[in-house]
Amino acid sequence: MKSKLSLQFKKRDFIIIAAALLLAAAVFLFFLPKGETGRLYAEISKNGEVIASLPLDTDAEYVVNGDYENVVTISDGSAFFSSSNCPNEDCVHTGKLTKAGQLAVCLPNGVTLRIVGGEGDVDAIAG
Amino acid sequence: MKKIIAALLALTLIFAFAACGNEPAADTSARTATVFAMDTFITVTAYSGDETLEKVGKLMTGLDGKLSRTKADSDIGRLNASGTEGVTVGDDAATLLSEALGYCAESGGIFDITIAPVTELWNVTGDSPRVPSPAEIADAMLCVGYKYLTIDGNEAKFAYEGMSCDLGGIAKGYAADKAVDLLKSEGVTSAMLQVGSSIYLLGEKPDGSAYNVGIRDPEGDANSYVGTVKIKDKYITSSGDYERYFEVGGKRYCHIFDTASGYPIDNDLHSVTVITDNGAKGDYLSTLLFCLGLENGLRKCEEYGVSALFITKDKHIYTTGSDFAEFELTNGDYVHEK
Repeated sequence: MKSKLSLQFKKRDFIIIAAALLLAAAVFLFFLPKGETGRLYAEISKNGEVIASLPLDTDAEYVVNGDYENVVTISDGSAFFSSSNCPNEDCVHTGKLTKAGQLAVCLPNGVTLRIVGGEGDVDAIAG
Repeated sequence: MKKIIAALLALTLIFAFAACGNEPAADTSARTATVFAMDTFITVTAYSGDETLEKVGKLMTGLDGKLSRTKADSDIGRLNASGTEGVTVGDDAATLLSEALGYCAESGGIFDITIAPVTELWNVTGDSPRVPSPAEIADAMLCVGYKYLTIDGNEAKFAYEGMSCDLGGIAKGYAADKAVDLLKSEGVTSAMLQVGSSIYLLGEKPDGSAYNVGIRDPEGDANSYVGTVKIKDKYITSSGDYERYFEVGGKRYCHIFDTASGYPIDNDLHSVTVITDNGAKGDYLSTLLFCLGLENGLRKCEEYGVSALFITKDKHIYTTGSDFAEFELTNGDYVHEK
């Protein structure tokens, strides 16, 4: 009888402990990763206005029209101007952006492509 | 057993609070605005309202309209078209012209805003760059000389026909200074103002730490850097042979000119980066140091207490001054000489 009672207590304790642990885990998961922590986005602006914000972990293609036509491609965690019919194609030559703070610009079309979110190594690059 | 449960519940709360602690505070969300002016892009990232950013954008576009050499109706455009008649310029152009002429004199003409006829001839940043003939260069050089441009109050005047000037070398820094003044007057204490490849870091980051700025790798793409430096409340700018140039027969011609020969600068340097309190002065110093080459540049820095970073063509990095004291090399292809 005594041992039976003790067993019942253990079972109830176990449930409470399990519930507490689950609650702890739930609270922890809810707050800590904050859903988006570390997730990077490619932010495309035209003439200073943000026109698209695309997650870097989802492959996509985005066409920006204007005086010229730029194609921004998101692929394998990087974003880049994959093609452009602007004069010098400096935007295409900038290459692939993968880290927060990185920037590619098409001056003739007034378009910037910037990686935002996550944790960047640097806040900006000078020079 | 109850103690264990209590402990676990306490643990739950600790986890929850610890997790909350990692959350960024709500008021640290930065806003970014970009305008295209001064032949480049200008990005402001500030912890302020959109109206302030809009004002900065207007200020920049306005300054571009006054200081651009390529706009015929700008103060500088009108001055360059005036021959020897002279023109009345606005306060911004007058201030910057007089500051620039001071730098020209200080550098003994190594920095010279009247190099424009030569720049135009080579057309390095234009659609059709070319290597002119020695005779053409000699001709254009006849029209170069800062001493023959005078600014008296708001009256600017060239002494000889054919002269022209270009404030492009320092207008970005001047615009950055003006924008920072505006941001401060609007009560902004933390902002990052990027004018092309030059950056003014106003104050510190909202979390109280310094900005971490990468120094561009002259041989890499626009997003690669040789190392990093921590900056608060300063302007950082570079001059080099890697951003605006053209190549003929494997030889690179950059957009910064030797004012003695009329040919693009070609010495042991790839780039010079300086950190200063003042944008226009920073632009002037980076150009001057790049023109001087490594040895004379370093000597100049010591003489004037300038914080600068030199990158040589053989991939050595030299730093001088307190602002580069904690420069951190991150690219193993380069050697940091201390």
